[in-house]
Amino acid sequence: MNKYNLNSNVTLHVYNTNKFKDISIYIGLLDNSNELDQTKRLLLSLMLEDSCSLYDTKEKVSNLLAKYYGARLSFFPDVKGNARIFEIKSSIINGKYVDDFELLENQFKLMNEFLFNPIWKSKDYPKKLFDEIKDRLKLIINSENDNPISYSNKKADYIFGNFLRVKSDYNIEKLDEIKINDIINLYNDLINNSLVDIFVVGDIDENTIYDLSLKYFKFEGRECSKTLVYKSFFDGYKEEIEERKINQTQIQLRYTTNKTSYDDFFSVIVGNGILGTLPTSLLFQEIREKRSLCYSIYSSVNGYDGVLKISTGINYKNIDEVKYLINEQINKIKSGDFSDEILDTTKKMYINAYRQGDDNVKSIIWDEYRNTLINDDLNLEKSIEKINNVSRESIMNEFKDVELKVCFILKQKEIDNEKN
Amino acid sequence: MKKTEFKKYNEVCYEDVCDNGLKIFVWHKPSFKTTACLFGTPFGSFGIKQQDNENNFYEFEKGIAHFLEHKLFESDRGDVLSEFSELGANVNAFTSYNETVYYFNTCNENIDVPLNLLLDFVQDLNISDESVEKEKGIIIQELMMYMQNPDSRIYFETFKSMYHTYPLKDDIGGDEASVSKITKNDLENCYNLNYHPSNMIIVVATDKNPEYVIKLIKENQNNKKFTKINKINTIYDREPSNVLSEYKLITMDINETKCCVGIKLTPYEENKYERIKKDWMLNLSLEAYFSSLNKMYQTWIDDKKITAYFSFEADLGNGHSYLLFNDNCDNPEEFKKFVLSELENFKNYYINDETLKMLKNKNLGQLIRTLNKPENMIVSYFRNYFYGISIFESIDILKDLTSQECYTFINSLGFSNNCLTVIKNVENE
Repeated sequence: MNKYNLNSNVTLHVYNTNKFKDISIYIGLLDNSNELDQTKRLLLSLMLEDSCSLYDTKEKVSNLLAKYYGARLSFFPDVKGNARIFEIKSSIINGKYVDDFELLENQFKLMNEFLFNPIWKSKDYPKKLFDEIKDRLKLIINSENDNPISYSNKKADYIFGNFLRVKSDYNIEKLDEIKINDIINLYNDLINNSLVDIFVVGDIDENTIYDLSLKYFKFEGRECSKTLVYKSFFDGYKEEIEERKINQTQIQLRYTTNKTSYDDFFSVIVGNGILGTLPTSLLFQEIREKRSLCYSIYSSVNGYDGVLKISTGINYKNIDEVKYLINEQINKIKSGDFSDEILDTTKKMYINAYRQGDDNVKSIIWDEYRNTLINDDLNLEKSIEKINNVSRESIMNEFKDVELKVCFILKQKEIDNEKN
Repeated sequence: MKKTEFKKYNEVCYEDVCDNGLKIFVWHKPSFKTTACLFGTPFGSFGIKQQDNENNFYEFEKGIAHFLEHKLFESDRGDVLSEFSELGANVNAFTSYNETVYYFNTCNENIDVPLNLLLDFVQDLNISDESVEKEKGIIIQELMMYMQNPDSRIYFETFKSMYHTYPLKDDIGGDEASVSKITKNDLENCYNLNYHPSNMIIVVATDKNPEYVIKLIKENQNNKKFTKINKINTIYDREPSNVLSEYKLITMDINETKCCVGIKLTPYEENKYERIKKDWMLNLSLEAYFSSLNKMYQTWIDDKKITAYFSFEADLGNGHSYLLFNDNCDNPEEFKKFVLSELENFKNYYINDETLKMLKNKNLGQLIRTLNKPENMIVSYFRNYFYGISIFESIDILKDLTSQECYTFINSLGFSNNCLTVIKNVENE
């Protein structure tokens, strides 16, 4: 991917490929805030997505996106490690497939309008619209909470704290307190002070993209720092149980791995694959395949804070057996009690996944972004080499400090009923 | 071998047929590293009553297609999922109303082994009474997972209210009772009827030489023998035009009350082009009227008639046609009144040419996007094949639609067969 400096701490990354039928633009605004203000950030993203000064009604926005061949435009406040990344994404069909050669510039114009000219730049933000968007966020939060899987996942992250809480700490009580000015201040801070990285992927001419970026993404130069990887900590162990009238009990577990750098991470990734990510994994084989105790069970590990998560849905009567078996599989990884075959298979699956990343816009952009943020030059070949270098000993070494810190159980109370 | 080029979209497809009747389609995607391959049968959850051309009748338990999908992953050599993993390939499958598909993707240079493995495991059911019993626990937990999600539950319950006999009333996976009754013998009988290669297709999207891929598939099939089978058809009991139940209340432990208005339409048994055309006309008209493209949408939000969760869905299927309107709302009866009253206005709605053009653009963009990923492309091609129409033909139909045609069709629809499903917390009653 070629890089261009548009301004101080404002970088353009361009990747020219004829694989995709559309052109994708991603802007990441990064800050290192650890404020528990995710509710505010979610509200800001909904407001920016809803309308802007030029397209100030839903009707105008929908017409515009439809006219541009179902253009996609979205805003989202993500958290990776201690990096808060406010994402702006758009994709539009490449004009050559629809004989519209102004589409590319229109895509830049569209992003410019929605990002740089929100409604409050031209008039007072309407109170009615502000309340409407708050109601929308309330619906989103309540609906997430109504889904036992997403609720239990969010709750376990919240209990764990650290940057998992920064991402999961949004709720209706906080929403009620937010004023329009709080949002405008947050917006100004993000636009003026964040580290800016712009990524453009598609069948494009790099010079044109450079010129359009200078013309439409006029970010001032800025002073800012970047940090991405951090070490999570959690003192002791906490278990919480909530009851709900559902027909399956959710178990969410959070472990610390004590990772401090991305470099050791390939052993953790492969170890986690052996533990619970792939169909060959110990959790899947022992708990689902051998004993039919669940339909879905998986583990995942976050490369930016080293937190290992395990999730499953089971019948509550089997909870002691399932918890015992999960612990047993973790211990197998710690003691290296797994076969050479599963180690080789897991490496092959990750190598396949890394190679497939090159056929996926999201992976192409994120791999480049991650390298930029951690000053790495990790490419496909280096990643494959690092995966191939992982050994039983390196996995045992990286897993030796893995400790269970949080157990959240959403317990089934009774089956719901039906009335005609 | 037939080669078809779609120059406008820079796509090429090769097709061929094996001696046993298996149809092969290979999309050549030279700039990609991923090979994606799908092997599927047009047999899904609807196929619980079947008849062959010698008038033999077969009846299966609900959820048998989905159960078969689970069991095919077992082979006499062990677990198929693990075999694919050992090859550095991801394998998966899904069952829907009218299809069961098995697919893998990989970036390996050599696709011979995973391709043969896909063909071999799908064409060899190898189960025991014990393994069938063991699978029931897994499937029942899967059904529980969907049932406790209010968003999927409301769809399922609405279909259950709408249909008396049509199998849309049943969950794709069946229910705990039906799954518990399925036996090894049932699965084998069902498999023999519905997995003959002459009924199936294989679709590949790859950077590898298409002629070589076709040769591999043919060699695999030439080494196998299949008993000749009778032509099999799914049969449906007569479905009354009215809904089974006009109102249903489900209680769940949730914050948001969810409601769904289901409208049962007359099924359209016309030729495939007419059906696809009418499906476009209905969907485009609904989008013009019931989305934020309509300036009234903001008024509906302001007047609390709808929330940001308002959505609609329409399907003009072969044996079923319906509309669904969903929302989160505190007053479901009012929501139903709103939907029915707006549908009356909708009957006389004439999309202006500019809106129609924008909607054509939007849907054209979405269709072109399906060509972006090999994994999406093979699924989309499989579906379109059994609908009898390709994505490129669908684009042509879309481009030719007129406002007058949309108006005439919408005006002919009746919305009187309807029902309301509500999911709410019992404490909110």
